[in-house]
Amino acid sequence: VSAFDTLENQLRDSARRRPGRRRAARLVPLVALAAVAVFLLARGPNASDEREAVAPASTWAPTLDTSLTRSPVPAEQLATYGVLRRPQNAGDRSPAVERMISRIEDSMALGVRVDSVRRLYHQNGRNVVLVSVEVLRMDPRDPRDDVRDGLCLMTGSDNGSSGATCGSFADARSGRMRYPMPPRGLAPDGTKRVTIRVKGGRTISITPRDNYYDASWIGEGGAVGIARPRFIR
Amino acid sequence: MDDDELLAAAKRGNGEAFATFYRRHRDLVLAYLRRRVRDPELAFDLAAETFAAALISLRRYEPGRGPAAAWLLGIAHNKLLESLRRGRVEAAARRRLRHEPIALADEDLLAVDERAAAGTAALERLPDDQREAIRLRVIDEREYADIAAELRTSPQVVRQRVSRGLRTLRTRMGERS
Repeated sequence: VSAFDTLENQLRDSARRRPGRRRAARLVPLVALAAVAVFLLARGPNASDEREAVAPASTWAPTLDTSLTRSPVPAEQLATYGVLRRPQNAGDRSPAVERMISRIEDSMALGVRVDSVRRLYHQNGRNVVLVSVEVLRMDPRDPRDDVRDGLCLMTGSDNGSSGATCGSFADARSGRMRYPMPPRGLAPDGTKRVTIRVKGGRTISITPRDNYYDASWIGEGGAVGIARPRFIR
Repeated sequence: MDDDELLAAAKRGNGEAFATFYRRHRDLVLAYLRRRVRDPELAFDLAAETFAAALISLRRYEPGRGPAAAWLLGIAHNKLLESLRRGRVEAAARRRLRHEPIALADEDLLAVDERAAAGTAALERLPDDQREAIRLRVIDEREYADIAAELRTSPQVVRQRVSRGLRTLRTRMGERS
């Protein structure tokens, strides 16, 4: 019996055992959200993003499928990503961004820090958004896998589709939290260039903006990152 | 039975329906994963987790929102990203289904590559326009609007090409298994 036959038998037996299980719905929001995780951001950085700040005391309360909180962003995140230190602006609270973060469900994260939401990039109807969360649920069924003070980098379009890659602060800081195709992710303050080895053996170099880098800015939209990025200061 | 009918039957507890769905799409999933991971064992592991997660996610599958193969490859993509992020292939879905780990023999490793090659070959045999649309949408995960702009056509046409191409793949792979 081959491994493929064994797998088929396991799946057949499991399907027979599982009719009508409500528990199944718990995993799916994360799968559905991440299943559309990679978008191509085809143009360079946008210089005309909205910059007017909105009052910090504003009661912006987007509707989420999980809990929101006004707890402060952890100091290490603030110290590392300058975008989190600037005041929130109208773009950060735009309807498109609100639609994107509304896709965060409680199977994925708890305590979305609503004042941490920052739009890092906006061009041609595409948005990239950074969100800090109190608890990141790596496995919705097992609280032991929960990560405190996580970050999510969300990509999406104005028409509502979105995806996310999430991780701990350490994941983000080390470059593990990223999109591999095309290479995109967060860059800490002080990064002059992000270098990434891509499939085929080349190394590409991207200048980040607003703590975000994207290989498609340099015409590498088809590149696949095969190693963690290096942040050159 | 088409994919939607198979998945509807699987939701009702028809194990054979899900087994058929697995056989029909196994090579395509392996072709997708094998292009992105170095060794066949890892590709098999990710494929197994993908199908287990798909089974768990059945209740949320919405027929008519797009080809089931695209939904399945979306899950495969998610599992791939998750493994990159964590540095290992998760077995959460398989644990939840109480699947025993599957040890791969040498011939299984060869079979992974053969099936991945078969999936790639089936893709190659599609008409150029469908193959390109599937590659850009399903493999490269580009937006329909992006693809339409690149191919100088409309998003609707791209959707049709993807849908027809996946339907053809499904039929051909269904015939093979």
